Parts: sequence; C-alpha cells; structure tokens
Amino acid sequence: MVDRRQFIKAAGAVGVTGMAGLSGCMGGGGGTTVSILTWTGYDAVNDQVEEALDDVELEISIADGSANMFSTVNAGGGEEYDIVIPNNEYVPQFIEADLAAPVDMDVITNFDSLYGTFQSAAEGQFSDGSEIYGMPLQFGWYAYGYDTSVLPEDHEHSYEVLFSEEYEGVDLSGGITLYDGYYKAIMATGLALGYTEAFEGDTVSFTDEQLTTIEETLIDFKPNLLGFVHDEETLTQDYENGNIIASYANRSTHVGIMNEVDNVAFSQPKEEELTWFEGAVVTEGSSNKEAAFQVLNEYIDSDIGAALSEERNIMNTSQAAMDNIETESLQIEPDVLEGMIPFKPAERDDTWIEMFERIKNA
Amino acid sequence: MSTIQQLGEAFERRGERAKLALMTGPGVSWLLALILAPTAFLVMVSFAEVNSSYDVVWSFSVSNYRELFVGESGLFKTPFIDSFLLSLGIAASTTVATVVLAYPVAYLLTRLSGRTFKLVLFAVLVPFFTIFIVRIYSWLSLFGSEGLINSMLVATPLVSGPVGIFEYGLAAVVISLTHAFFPYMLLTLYSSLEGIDYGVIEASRDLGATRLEIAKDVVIPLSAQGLITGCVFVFVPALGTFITPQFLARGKFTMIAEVLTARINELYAINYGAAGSLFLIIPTIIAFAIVMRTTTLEAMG
Repeated sequence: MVDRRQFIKAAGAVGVTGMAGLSGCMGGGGGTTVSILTWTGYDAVNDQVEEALDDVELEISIADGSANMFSTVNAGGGEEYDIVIPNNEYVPQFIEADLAAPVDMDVITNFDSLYGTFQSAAEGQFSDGSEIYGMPLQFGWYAYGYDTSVLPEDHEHSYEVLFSEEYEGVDLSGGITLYDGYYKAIMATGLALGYTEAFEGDTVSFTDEQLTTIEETLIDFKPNLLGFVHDEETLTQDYENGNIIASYANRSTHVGIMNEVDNVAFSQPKEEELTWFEGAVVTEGSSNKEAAFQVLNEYIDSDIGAALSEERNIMNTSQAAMDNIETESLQIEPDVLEGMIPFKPAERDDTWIEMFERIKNA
Repeated sequence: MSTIQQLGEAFERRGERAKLALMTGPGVSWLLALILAPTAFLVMVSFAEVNSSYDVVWSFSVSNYRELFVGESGLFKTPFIDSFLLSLGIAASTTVATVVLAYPVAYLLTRLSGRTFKLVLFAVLVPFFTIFIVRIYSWLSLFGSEGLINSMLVATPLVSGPVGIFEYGLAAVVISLTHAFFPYMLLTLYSSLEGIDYGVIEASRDLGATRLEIAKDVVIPLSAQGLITGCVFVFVPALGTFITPQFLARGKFTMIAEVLTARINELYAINYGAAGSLFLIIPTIIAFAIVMRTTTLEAMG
C-alpha cells in the first residue's frame, strides 16, 4: 500500500527526472545547438558531427525546396536557423538580401579538399567579389538514365536520345520521360538543341526565338513521351514494369533506381551536363556562427562527407570524401566535372513556367 | 407585473442568451479562426504582389487576376483557363461515371437486407478504407502500356498491342477518380433511395408503367435530392484533385490544382495561387447553392 506522502515523494522524483531529461533536450547542458534548415538525409550523420565537435548539438529541419528556404529565412527565420542549405542558384539571392554571413575560412580547413570546380564556384557564384558567403557541400547533375537491356551501354551518349523516336536502331517511342519541372525540362531541351551560349552569363537567358523552338520541340515530341516524371518511386516502378527506356532526371534519383532495378545505367552525354550543388549558408542572424562553420567543415570532411554521400546517394564536393566512398553507383569519372554547367537562375522565370504549362496542356 | 418580476425575467432572458452564446461560441470561434480568417487572408494576398525577395507587397493590384485570364494570345487564352476547363471536364466525367455506376448498386442495396446487405456494402466500401496513396500505386501498376491490364489483354488474341484507354492519361485519371469517389455517391444515393416508399413503385407497376418509365418518372425524381448532393460531393473534390493526375497523367496535362501548386512551389507566386484558388471556389459555391435550393439537410443523409 502506498500512502499519500510516499506517492507525492515518488511523483516528485519522477518530475525532477523528467525535467532533467527535458532540460538536456533543450540544450540545458551548456552546449551549442546549431539549427539547420535543409534537405532530407543530413540527420543521418548527426551523431558523427556531434562526436567530432565538442558541445555541439544539431537540430535539423526539412524545407520544401530552396524557394521555401529563402522565404523562411527572409521572413525572419535568420535568427531561428544557423545554417540554410539551398541549391546553388539560390545562394546569390541570400547574399543580395544580406541574409548570408561571410564564410570564416579559418574554420573551413577542408576547403582545399574540394574539387577545383567547386572551389571556383565558391569564389565565383557564392562571392560578392571580396568575400565568400556559401560553401558547396554535395552535388549532382542532370542527364538521362536508361534501360541497358533495350538501349545498349555503348550507344553514343547524347541528349538526342531524349528527343528521338529511334536512336541507333532502337525504337524509343513512348518510352521517354522528361523532368516534371519547367526549369530542368526547358534547360535540357535547350542543351539538346545546342543553345549553350544561353548558359554563359549569371542567368540562363534564351532568346525569344530559342524559347519558341524549345516550346515547339517539346510539343512536337510530346506524343512520343511516356510523360513528365521525376520522382524516384514512380520512375523505379516504371523501370520495373518495362515502361521506360530513357529518363531525364537527377543523378541521385537514378542512383536510387539503380539500387533497386537491374539493367539501369546513367549516361554521360557528349554535350555538357547541368550541375547543381547544395550551397550552405550561415545566416547573418545566427548567434552561433563559429559552431555553424565548424559543422559545415565536417560535412566536407573525408569521413563524415563520405558517410553523408552514401546515406543520401549524392556525391560530395570534397575529393577526399569521394575517395573514401565505396558504393559503386557513386563513383564518378574524373573528367565529368570538366564539362559541367552550374545551375543558374532563369532570366525569365514567369515566361518559362507559362511556356511549360502550355506544353503540358498542348 | 411588478418590477421584481420584470427584473427576474430579464435575468432569465440574459441567462438564456448566455447559455446560447456558451453553446455556439466555440463553433463560431472555430469558423472565424479557421475558415473566415484564412479566406480573408487569401482574398488579401490575391490582390497583393510578391517581390523578387519573395516578400508580399501589400498593394491593391488586379494583375494576378489579369494573369489568370489574359495570355500572350489574348483573353481567356492562358494555361490557367486551359487547365480549369480540363479540370471541369474531368470532374464532370467523374461525376457522371459515379452516378451511372452507383445508382444500380444503391438501388440493389435498398432491396437487400441482413447479411447479404452487409456483405455487398462491405465489398463496395473496403477499398475506401485503404490509404489513398496505396490505391494510386495500385492504379499505377494496372495502367500503362506494360501495365497489368494491357499485359493481360495483349496475352489474349483479342488485341494485337496495348490498348490506348489503359495507357496513362485522361482515361486513367477519370477511372481512378471514379473509383476514389464512388462511395460518396453510393452512400448519398442509398440514403435517398432508402427513403422511397416502394408502394409507389408497385402502384406504378400495377398501372402499367415499364421498368424504364418507373426509373425515369418515379425512382429518379424521388431520389433527386440525394443525386444532386452526391454529384456535389463528387464534383467538388474531383475538380481540385492533385495527387491522382500527378501519378496517372504523367505530366501530359495539368489539372488546375497542379498549375497553382507549381506556381507556388517553383516561383513562390502565392498571390497568383490565391487568385486562382478564389476563382476555383466559384464552381464550388454554385454547386452548393444548387444543393441548398433543391435539397434539405435530412436528404443529404
């Protein structure tokens, strides 16, 4: 039998224990909590990062896209989040809106291990001319995956595959998918049509005639498409069902498919590939800037960076991290980085999206 | 009446009002907070602008509405209008298909009783209890040139190649939506048909009416309220559907909800999205106005 006094004592003990536990969760232990707004998969290396950095605890929030990240921080989330990791083409917007803090290069000791392409990108796209404001962490590119049982691996890799009813004797009609998004679908068609000069400036800028040709090309070819699809699950199921011969999407999406389905390979087109990379920004409003830069440094560390890449099926911008990766589908040819075109904002977003809507409804 | 009595009655009346306020207060607050306030915000945003930093600029502008209706090729020649008309067509086709399929089943249910009734109802409703996305994936496997339906058909001598209607596209979306919304129509029709006095049907039969005449002149008019309600319950959600075309249209056409979502996700054009959403409310209001004029809450089941 428990009397009232014993009950109160026991309840008090439970309460104290609970509060102690809660205060631990709330960072009451005196450590620094670094709050990160990013994509899925980063939390897989939380333990490793926390172990590498004394007294740092990570708090990951997932955003629904780069535009969402920008609007969240711009609407006052700069103090709520220490790190934001949008796609590279959004980093200039953070810089322009004074939302990004200059990178403390003394803390980013792994910067030299980045591929030269990404060091240049940090010093170019992520810089205002005097300081760097973003750190490239992970990258991938867009090209097409294909069913090797239908389209042989030794075919000439070219975007023409995506816009041909027949390629090297293989009937492709009804077996092609393009990315379901105006930005990537239009840029891929532009590249296939050879409009490489449109990618040279700070923005991607097709002329009116080029846009008209892109629209006509996509409308004319639409009957031969299986559709506009980009999510991994649907593409995987379509490859399994034998619906797809070639699909234009992100490399990481195809790595996921390759892990599930045999006879799927990813191309390296003779034309240039569109590359995206995640550009981490430490927010100007952050009160934990030093810890935040330390965390970024760990994401491009040879071990943690490799683990992050293997968890997310996405390549690391650090060559040292890539050297540590054993997964076959994440191995890259060294020369693949040479022909890459980094994602840039579209010059006329509104026109592009309206054009894509017309194409889909045509 | 003495002053004390008058005061007593006044307090009683006030007490009644307080009780009424206490009872309706939570509901009214709920409506204000979760329906009226967001709708008012939607209206405000639909007249606002969003700048390049994705800030909402609170100015009165009709440019969002103009963008919905005026395209490069002229008035009403915009992707929004194209998708809106397509969505209306898909929602209408879905509604007609559910009516055609649900009416006989609902009628059958009214004629059944006991265990058979429960069995038929369970068989009809069981897919409704599975998660929507799972059902979509099932349809995904069934459709397509290499899908289960076409594979089975091709294996027979009946067809020489995949049948177009079972490819991904318009037909796949309508069939899937019909399957998804079938229970809404069935249950509303059943509740309406169940209330019919079958003596009337027998009387009309005795008077020489054919089956078709009985259906046309007796059953349908007497169940019209349920039919209208069922149509609204199917038409309205079908009009704004998003997931089904995402999977089964394969991006070869876009329904209206997809247009608005893409604009918001990719351009953060919440002002355009708000204007489009408000326009989308119009057919819904018309549909509910028809229901309110033609039916009662009891008839809605």
